[in-house]
Amino acid sequence: MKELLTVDTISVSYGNIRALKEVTMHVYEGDIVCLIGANGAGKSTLLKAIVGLEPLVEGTITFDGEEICTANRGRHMTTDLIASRGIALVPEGRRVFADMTVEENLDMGAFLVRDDALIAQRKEAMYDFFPILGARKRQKTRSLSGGEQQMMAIARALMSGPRMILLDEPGLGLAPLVVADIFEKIDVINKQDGVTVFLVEQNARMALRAAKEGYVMENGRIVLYDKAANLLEDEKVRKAYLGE
Amino acid sequence: MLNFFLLILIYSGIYALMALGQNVITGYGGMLSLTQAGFFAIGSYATAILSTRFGFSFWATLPPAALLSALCGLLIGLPTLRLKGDYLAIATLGFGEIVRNVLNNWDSLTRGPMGIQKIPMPTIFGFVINPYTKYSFLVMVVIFVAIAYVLFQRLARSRMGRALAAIREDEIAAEAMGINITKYKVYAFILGASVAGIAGSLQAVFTLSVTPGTYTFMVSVMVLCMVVLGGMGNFKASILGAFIIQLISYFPQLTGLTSVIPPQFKQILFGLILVVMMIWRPQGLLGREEIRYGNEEGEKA
Repeated sequence: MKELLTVDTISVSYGNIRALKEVTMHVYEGDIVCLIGANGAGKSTLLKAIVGLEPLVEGTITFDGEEICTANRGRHMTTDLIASRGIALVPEGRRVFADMTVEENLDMGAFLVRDDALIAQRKEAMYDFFPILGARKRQKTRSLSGGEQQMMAIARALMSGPRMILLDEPGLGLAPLVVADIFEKIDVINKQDGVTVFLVEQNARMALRAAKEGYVMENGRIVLYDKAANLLEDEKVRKAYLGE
Repeated sequence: MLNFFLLILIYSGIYALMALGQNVITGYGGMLSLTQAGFFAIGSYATAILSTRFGFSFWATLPPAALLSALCGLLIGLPTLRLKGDYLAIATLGFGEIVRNVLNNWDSLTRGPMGIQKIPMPTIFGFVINPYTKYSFLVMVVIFVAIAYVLFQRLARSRMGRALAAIREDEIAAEAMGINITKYKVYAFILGASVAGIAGSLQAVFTLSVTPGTYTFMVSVMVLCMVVLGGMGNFKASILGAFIIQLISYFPQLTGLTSVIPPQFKQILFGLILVVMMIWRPQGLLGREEIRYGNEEGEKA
């Protein structure tokens, strides 16, 4: 299987504090990979680093054979360029364009797509996939519930037709039923559309069940890596993250 | 009296151009810039120097005035646009003051505080647009405002308008959608600067003389007031705001109360307007103009 994203011994600092310490990860095309860890472990920082929102102190990130992030600022790609390579981020806290309608948000997601017919077709596909968005397409996004906004954020990310989608805590602050629904959708996106998924989640059980591979992060370091099914059985993981 | 009213209309037009530019920067781009006076001055002096020293016609001075302002917009925009909110305001405020100080001190080029007089009146097909009789000048200013308005309305509905709307709402999300935020912010800044430059050219041929004292920080504040009063993100509102603010600032002269109302009245009133608007109607008199950014299919659905 082809390696799509390679994170090669990267470190990120906030002032004197090392938020990421020599993190290495491999994401293969077509997989769902999850990263679990406690609050403040550095999960979101890693996602931000991948899309170029955090400068690297060392290491490189490669997407589909092309170097997208390095510690050398001159060669570091900007976030919009990285997005144009086919990486879509669903940011933490959703970050929807609240004053725009659902439809306008989806249009924004397709900013890099220049083909109007393709945009219209993708929007219809999104309305079919998330019927609630179709019903609310004329509404301002701020009037949507948290779960609906999360679905909209995912739909918006998919509008660019990405090869890989990065999800930052999609279940945050949502009711368990809604979270289950969202994870079901993520699974369909992966299985039907072949979009590679990299998932960061505090809800470790949900994430490990959905994923094929799992990484565990503690204090900015990857401390464990295995098949997700194995991690679900792992003594330490069960104790620390599954509350058993 | 009629003559005086015409004067107010002409100034409203000149300031409306600046306010339109400010609205692109602040209302659409979401950047709090306080530097329109600087670009205004650059446009004025470009026209003044080129027409008195080098014999350029008024029309021939417009492209260099706009280009020079745009270039300065680029030079100040690139380093400062990564700043946000009040930090950007302070950095741009500094630029306006630098421009004024340069004009005041670069004697060989600008004649310093003496300014430049005897700027030739603009002519078109042999017809002199005389600022003293005002009518033809007013027509010219109105045409300029109309052109700028139409262009900006189209801009707001373009790809760039969409990009600015996204950036204003959430920069990180906009970047993640593949929008190059630096590029579009700089574009907005350059556009706002160049129309202010054009406004400066008009100012130069209206007063037929330029002195650095005209281009104070107060001008930038007035322009910002116009945009806030009218409504951010609404170009019609900027024109309305420009007219109202001009009317207010000439209120003592209009009513013949110059001996009663102190000249500081203007500043006090602008401050009051900003405070009252922020409390009672932060969206401005007309509010933001709703723009649908969808494509055709979406429109019909």
